[in-house]
Amino acid sequence: MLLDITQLEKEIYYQKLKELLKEMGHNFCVGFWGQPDQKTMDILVENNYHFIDLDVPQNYFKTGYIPTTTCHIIQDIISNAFILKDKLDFFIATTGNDKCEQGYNVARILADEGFPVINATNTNNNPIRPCLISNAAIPLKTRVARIMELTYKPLTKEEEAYYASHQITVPAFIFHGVPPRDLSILDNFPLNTRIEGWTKLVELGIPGRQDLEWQISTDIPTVFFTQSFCHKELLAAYWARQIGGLHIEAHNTITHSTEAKLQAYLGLAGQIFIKE
Amino acid sequence: MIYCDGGSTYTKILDNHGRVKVLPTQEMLKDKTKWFDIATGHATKNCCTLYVNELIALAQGTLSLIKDDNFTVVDIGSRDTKYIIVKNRKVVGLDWNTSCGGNLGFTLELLGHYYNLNYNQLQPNKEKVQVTCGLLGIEKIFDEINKGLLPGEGVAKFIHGLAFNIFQFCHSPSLLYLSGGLTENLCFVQTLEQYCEVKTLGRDILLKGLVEIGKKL
Repeated sequence: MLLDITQLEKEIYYQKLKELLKEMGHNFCVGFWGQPDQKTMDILVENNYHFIDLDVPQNYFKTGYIPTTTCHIIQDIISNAFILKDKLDFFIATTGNDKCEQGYNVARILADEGFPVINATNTNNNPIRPCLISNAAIPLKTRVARIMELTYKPLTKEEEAYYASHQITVPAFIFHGVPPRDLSILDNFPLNTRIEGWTKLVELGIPGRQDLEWQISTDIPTVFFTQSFCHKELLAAYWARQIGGLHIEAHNTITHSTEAKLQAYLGLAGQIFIKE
Repeated sequence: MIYCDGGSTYTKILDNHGRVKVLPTQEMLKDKTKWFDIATGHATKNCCTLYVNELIALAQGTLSLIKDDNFTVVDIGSRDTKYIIVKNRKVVGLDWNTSCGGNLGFTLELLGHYYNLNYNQLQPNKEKVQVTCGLLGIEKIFDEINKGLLPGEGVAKFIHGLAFNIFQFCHSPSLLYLSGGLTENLCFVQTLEQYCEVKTLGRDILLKGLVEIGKKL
């Protein structure tokens, strides 16, 4: 790897990062996955870099050695990296608890394949932003997409005021989990759905605080979403059974039956059926 | 009002006179003029005034019939299996399986025709084959029969595997309300009773759910 935040003193790492940007910046565009170390992203912004979130599916191109039982988001990162290799100056990797073990594997594979990889895994433990978006009564898909941009595009003052004025007082549902590869499933949720789990941790800037993913509201109907073949499935399945939530998983696009199951849960959970 | 539960294989229609008609879904689909006031099941999506999610129809139908505060109901169709767990008259758990737990009814019907079996006379088998879904399990049955097992015994072992899966899929309840076409399969019901008490509700619970929904319109 060109640079590894886990192997250097932070200040030395940032100094070397600035030197690398001067030395190797051509296209002024980087690809990243997960939510990297914020100061790394801030330095890139200061140096006028553009960002491509490699977690988001682009034109699908699968390399032969990826097992089909690999989380589709991980498959997408590798595919996107190969497709965009010549357009990106650096690949900003997240490799620890803030992403997953597969994030580390991807970083190693790309580095071995000659990609300019910088390990900027996010080890921050203290919130750097208030929780405004996760608790706003605004369409869920819009909110999840906006949270994923925060790392390189902070909220404007106008946005802050907008989200602050739309705070949910009593959530009807909780969406707990990671952003789905196929965001269309989020269109099924009502406005007053609160975001919890990893997505909320991204808003707070502490994606590695796995302990907070285990803080569950037991009295609010909760949909636990995971990508198929993600290790978070165990948490989701366990808690869904414990509190009468719904665990849904998806690999590629959302199937009709998954969507129908979700719609049924949203239509039935929490209702009391009086005996006639 | 005309209500319809259009399943993958069979369609159940409740007409204005309270009569329930069961016909193959393929036959129903041939009628291009059909129209239902309230319907459920994927085959009816484009031929009804109000379309209702199948699990919601199952919940409404079951809750109108069962007065218990706490219960579990499972509906086994030809293509999918779905359950609801109710506690204190609230739905606290549900699932809908079309892949790994799917094709149960369809596979049993196929095997019954192929081996000319009467499921109301077929004896339950204490042994079971491990099956993940109907279509994957069928291979194991053929394998056992090829080794010399009588077809009826092989299919009964297969049914045992399915019943065990259903029991576990529904969180291993002590009492299970059973809905759908398999309520008419005595071998399946008796096999399932090896694991829990079973109360059959018939195959028109989703229609009853649609009627309940119709009352509130």
